[in-house]
Amino acid sequence: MNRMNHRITVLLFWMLSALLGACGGQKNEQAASPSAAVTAPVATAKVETVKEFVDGAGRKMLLVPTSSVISRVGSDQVFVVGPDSIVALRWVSTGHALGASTIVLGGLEKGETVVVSPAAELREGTKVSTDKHTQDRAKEAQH
Amino acid sequence: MNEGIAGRLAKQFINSKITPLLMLASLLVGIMATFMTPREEEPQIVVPMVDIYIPYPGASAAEVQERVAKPIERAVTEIKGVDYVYSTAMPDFALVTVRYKVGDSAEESMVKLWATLMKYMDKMPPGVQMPLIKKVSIDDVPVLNLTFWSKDKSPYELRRIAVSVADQVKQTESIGDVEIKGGLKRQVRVMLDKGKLMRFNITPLQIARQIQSTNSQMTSGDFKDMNEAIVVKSGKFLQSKEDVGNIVVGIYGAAPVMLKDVAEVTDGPEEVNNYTEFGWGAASGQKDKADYPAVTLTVAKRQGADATMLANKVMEKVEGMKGSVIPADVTVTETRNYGETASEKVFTLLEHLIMAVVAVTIVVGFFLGWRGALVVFMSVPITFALTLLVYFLLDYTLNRVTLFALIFVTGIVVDDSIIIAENIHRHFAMKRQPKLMAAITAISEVGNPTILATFTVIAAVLPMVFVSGLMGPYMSPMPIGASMAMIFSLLVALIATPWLSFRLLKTDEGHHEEYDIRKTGYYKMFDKVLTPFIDSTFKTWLAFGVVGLMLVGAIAMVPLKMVQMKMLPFDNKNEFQVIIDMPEGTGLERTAQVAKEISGYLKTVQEVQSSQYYVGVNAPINFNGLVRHYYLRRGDNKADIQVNLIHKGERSTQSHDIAERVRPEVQKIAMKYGANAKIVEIPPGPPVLSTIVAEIYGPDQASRIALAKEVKKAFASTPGVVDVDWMVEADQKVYDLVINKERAAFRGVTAEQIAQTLRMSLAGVDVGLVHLPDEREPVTIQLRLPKADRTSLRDLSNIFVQSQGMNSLTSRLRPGMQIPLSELVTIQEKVQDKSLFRKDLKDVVYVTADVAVVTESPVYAMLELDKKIEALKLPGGYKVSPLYTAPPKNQNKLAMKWDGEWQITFEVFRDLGTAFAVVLVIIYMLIIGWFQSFKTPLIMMISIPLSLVGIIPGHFIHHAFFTATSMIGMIALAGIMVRNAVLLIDFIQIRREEGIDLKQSVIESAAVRTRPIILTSGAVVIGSIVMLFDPIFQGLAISLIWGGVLSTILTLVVVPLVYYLSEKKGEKKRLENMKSA
Repeated sequence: MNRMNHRITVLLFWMLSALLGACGGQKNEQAASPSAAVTAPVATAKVETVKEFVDGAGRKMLLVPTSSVISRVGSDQVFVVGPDSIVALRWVSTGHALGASTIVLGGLEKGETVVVSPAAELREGTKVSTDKHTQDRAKEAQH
Repeated sequence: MNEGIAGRLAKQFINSKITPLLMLASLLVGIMATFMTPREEEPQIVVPMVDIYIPYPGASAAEVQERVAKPIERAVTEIKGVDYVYSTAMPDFALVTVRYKVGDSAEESMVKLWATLMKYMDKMPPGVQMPLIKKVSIDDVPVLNLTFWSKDKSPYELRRIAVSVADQVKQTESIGDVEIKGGLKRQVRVMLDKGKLMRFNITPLQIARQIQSTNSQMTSGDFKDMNEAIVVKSGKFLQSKEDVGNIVVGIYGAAPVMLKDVAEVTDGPEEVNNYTEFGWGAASGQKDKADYPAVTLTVAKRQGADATMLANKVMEKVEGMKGSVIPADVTVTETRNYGETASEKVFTLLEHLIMAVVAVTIVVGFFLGWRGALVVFMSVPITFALTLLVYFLLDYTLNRVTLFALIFVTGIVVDDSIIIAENIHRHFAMKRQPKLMAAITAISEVGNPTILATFTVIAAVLPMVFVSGLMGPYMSPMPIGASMAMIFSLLVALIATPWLSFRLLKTDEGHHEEYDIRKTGYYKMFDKVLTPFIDSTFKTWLAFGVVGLMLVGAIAMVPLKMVQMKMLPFDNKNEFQVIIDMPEGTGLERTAQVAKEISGYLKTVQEVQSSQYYVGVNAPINFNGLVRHYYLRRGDNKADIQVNLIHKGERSTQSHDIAERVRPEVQKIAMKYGANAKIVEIPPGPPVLSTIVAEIYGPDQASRIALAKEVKKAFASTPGVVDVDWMVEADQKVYDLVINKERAAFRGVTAEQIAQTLRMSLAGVDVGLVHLPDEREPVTIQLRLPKADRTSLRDLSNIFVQSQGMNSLTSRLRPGMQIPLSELVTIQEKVQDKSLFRKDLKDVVYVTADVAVVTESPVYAMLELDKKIEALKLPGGYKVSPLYTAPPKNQNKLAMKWDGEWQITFEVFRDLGTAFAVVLVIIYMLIIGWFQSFKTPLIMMISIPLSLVGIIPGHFIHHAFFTATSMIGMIALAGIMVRNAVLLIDFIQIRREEGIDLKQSVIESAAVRTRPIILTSGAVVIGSIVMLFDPIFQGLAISLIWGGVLSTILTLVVVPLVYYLSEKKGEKKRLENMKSA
C-alpha cells in the first residue's frame, strides 16, 4: 500500500500545481498604440480658412472655396487640415454658390482650414506642408 | 446480502450480449445528434416583447401620452401574462412596449394583444392612425454582417450593389430578415424652383396632385368578340424622370407648363440622410487606414436554424457573385459572423469537454490503474451521447448554455461509474469470492446508496428550472441537461460499467494475503487523525471551533469587499459598439465629424481590426440593442460605431479590458463636442436598459427632472460610474408657424393647405412611385425644395398657396390667386416637446450609467450612491431613499428605484436562494426516507456550509467575482457533498450492524470511503479546471474546485466526528442490546 500512498502524493502535487497555474489567469499586457502622426506621408497643398459672411439681411453664413469641395454622387466632402497639419476628410452639406465660394450648411466651423483644389491622390492622414504665404493669409482671416 | 435494484440490474446485464450493442447504439445516436442539432451562440430565448407604434400626427407629447399612451397601457395591462408595460410619448407618436412573462408563447401573446387593442381602438381620439404592432425576438439580431466598401464607388452605387446581392442571398434556405444599412436609395427628386413657381403661377400642392393623378394605370375590363376576350387597359405609369418632367402641371398664358419648367427633376441618389463608412484598424495589417463609404448587408436567421450553416451558405453565394454582381473595386468585408463564433464556441466547449474527460480518466488511473481508468473513460461518452440526443429531441440548440450544462456535469457524471468500478476493484482485490459473485456483491453494496446519491444531486440542480424572469431561459437547459446526464450516468453505471469492469478489471496478482483494512495506508492515516479527537471531547470541540472560525472568516470576506458579487462577468468577444448621442438639433455632418474622430481614434488602438461608423442610421443591432431599442436610433444627432477586434485567439487582452481602456479617450473626444458617448459591450446574460438605471418617480415632470438632474450629478461624481446619461432630450429650437386663421379664411386658404405645403417644402413628400419593374427597391418620386433653399425662415417667404376663391365661401378673391405663406403665418420660437416615459402606468424619468474600472459590480456603486442621494435636499424638505425591489406605492412624493442589471441580479439570486432552500428540504427528506432518522440527515448536511470555507477564499485568490455561476456551483456542490456523507455514514451503519463498535466503524468507514470520495471529488475538481479560463464559467469552476477540495477534506474529518459525538451516548446500550439479541 506504500505504492498507493506514493501515487496519491504525486497526484496531490500535480493537482496543486495545476491550481496554482490556474491562478495566474489575469495577464496585463499592454503596448503603446502606434501614433499615426509618426508615419504620416507628406504632401504640399494650398489651404484656406472657412470664412464667415454676413449678407445684406444680416444672415450669417459660412463660405469655403468651391474648388475645395469634392463632390461624390449625392454627397460632398472637403479635406480639413487638423492640428499637426494632418488632413482628414469631412462630410459637408453645401448650399448655393456665391461667386467662387460655396455656402456650407453643416460640417465645418469658422476658422477651420480646408485644402483648396485637393490633388486626386491626396489621402486622409497625409501631412500637408503649406507655403508661408497662405499661412499668413490664414492667420489674417482669423483676426 | 440483499441485492436491491442495482444488484439485480447488474446481474441481468453483466454477462448479457445485448449490453455492448446498447453501448454502441447509444454512442452512434449521440454522434448523429451532435451533428444534427443546430448550432448557435446565444440560447434560444423567447422574450415575448411587442412594440406598438401609434402615430397621432400633430399632437404634442403630453397630449399623446394622455390620449393614446395611457389608454393603451391600461388596456394591455388587462391581458393575462403581461409583465411590464413601458411607454414613450413623443410629439406625433407613441411607442408602447409590452413585455410578457418569459416563456409565454409568442403567437398566443400576439393574438391576445391584437384582440385587446382592437377592443379599444374606437375609443381613440380622431386623428390617431392604425397602430403598427411589431414582435421583437432574438432572431432579429443579425448573425452575419457583410460590409461593402469601395474607394471609388459612392454610397448610392454601393447600396444598389448590396440590394442586388441581398436579393440573391435571400434565396438561401432558413434565412431570416435581410436588411441594408446605410447608402442612398434611388429616387426621382423633383426640386422645386421657387422663382419659377412664382413666375408660372404654380403651387407645390398643385404639382403633387398632378403627379398623383397622372401616375395611374389600370385594367378597364375586356371586350368579348368572336369567342375571344380582349383585355383593355388604360393609363400609363410614370417610368422615368422624363415621364415625370413632362407632366403638365399648369397653364401659363396659352402654353402648358411642364414640371421640368418649374423644377429640376433628377434620377439618382436621394438626399443625404446618413453617412456610413468603413476603415481598417491598427491590428488589420493594412497600410491604408482611411475611411471609405460603406454599406452593410445584415442577415438574420430563422428561429432554430443553424447559424454556422447559414453563414457559410451566404458567404459561398457572395463569393460566387464577386466579379459579376459585385464589381472588382468593391471590397466585401465580413464585419460580423456569429455563425463562425457559434461554431468556435461550440467546438471550444466540446474541446473542454474532452479535456475534462481525459483529465478525470488520468485521475482515476492513478487510483485504479489503467484498466479502471478505461472503464470510466468508456462510460462517459455514452452518457453524453444520450444527453445530446435528449437535447436534439427537446429542440434545444447547441449553444453556450446547453454545452455549459454538459461541462458542468462532466465531473459529476463519472462519479457513479467511479463508485461502482472502485468497489468492484476493491472486492476483486479482497479475493473473498469468485469473480462474478464479487462483482455483484460490490454492486449491491454501493448500488443503492449510489441511486440515492444520484437523486440528491439531481434534487440539488433541478430547482434551478424555477429561476424566473429573463435569466430563466438562460438557466433552464442547465438543470434539465444536468439531470438528464445524471440519470443516464446512473443507468450507464449500473448496466455498462459492471459489464466493462467484469471484462477489463483483473484481480490483482500482487496481494495473496487475507485482506485486512487495518493494514491500509488510509486506515493508518485516519486512525492517527481521528483517534485524538474521538478520545478527547475538548479536542473535538476545539476542532469544531477552528472549523467554525474558518467559516465565519470566509463569510466575512463578502461584507469586507474582499470578494465582490456580480451577476455575470463579461465574455471575451470580438466586437463592441460606441453609441454617440449629440444634443438634439445637431446637424448630420457635425455628428459625422464626431463619429469619424472617435472612429479614427479607435482605429489606432492596437487590437482593433476595423471600425465602421453609421451616422443618422443605426448600426446592425446586437443582443443589447434589442431591449434598448437601438433599432429605432435614427436622426441627425445619432451615430453608432461598430468596432471589430482581432480574433480573441490572437490577442492577450480581453474585450472588456479593451473597452475599458478606450473609454476615457472616446469620452474625451465626445466631451469636446458636447456629445454623449457610451461603450456598449455584448451582455453575457440577458440584456438590460443599462447596467445601472435609476427610475425616478414623482408627482410632476418638472420635479422628476429636477431630482433626475441631482441624481445624474451624483452619478457623475462617483468614481467607477461611467457613461452617465439620462433620457431627457436637450432643448431643441422649433419654429412654430402659427396660422392666422382669420386672414387665411379671408384669403380663401385652408389650414390644411398651409400645413401640407409647408411639409412638402421642408420635409418633402413622396408623391408616388416610378414604376420600374426591374428595380429591386421601390423608387419614389419626392417633391421638395432643394437643400440650399431651405436654410432659414426667410426661404419660406416666397412659397405660395392657392386661394380657393369664392368656392371657400369665406373669400371674395378670384380662385387660383397666389397667396404668399408669409402673409398667413406668424412665427413663434419654442422648445421642442420632450419625450415622456412611463413604466407600468407610472410616469418615470430614467437616469442611466455603467460601471467600470473601480467597481465592476453595480451593487457597490449603488450602495455608495445611496448615501449621496439620501443627502440630497429636495424642495418640500423630505429625503429620497432609493428603493431596491419594488416601485413606490404612490406617486405623491418623489421616489427613486434602482433597476437595470440589479433587477435581474436580484431576481436571479432570490430565485436561486429559494431554489437552494428547496434543495435543502428535498435532500433532507430524501435522506430521512433512506436512513429513517431525523438526526442523521442533519449530520450529513453539515458538509454543505463547509463548502463556503473553500468557495469564498477561492474567489479571493483568483480575484474573481462571486457570480450567478458561482452560486450554481455552490448548489451543485451541496448535492455532491451530501452524497459523499451518505456513502460514508451508510458504511458506518452497515459496519455497526455487523457488531463492530462505534469508534472502530467510524475510523474504518472513513478509511474505506476515502478512496471513492477523493476520486469522485477529484473528478469534479479536475473536470472543472478547464473552465477556469473561461470568463463566464470561472465562478463555477472556482466554486467546484476550491469548495470541492476544502469541503471534501473537512467532510472526511468533521462528519465522522459529529456522527461519533451524536451516537456516543446510546452506543453502550446498543451494543448490549445487540449482544443480548
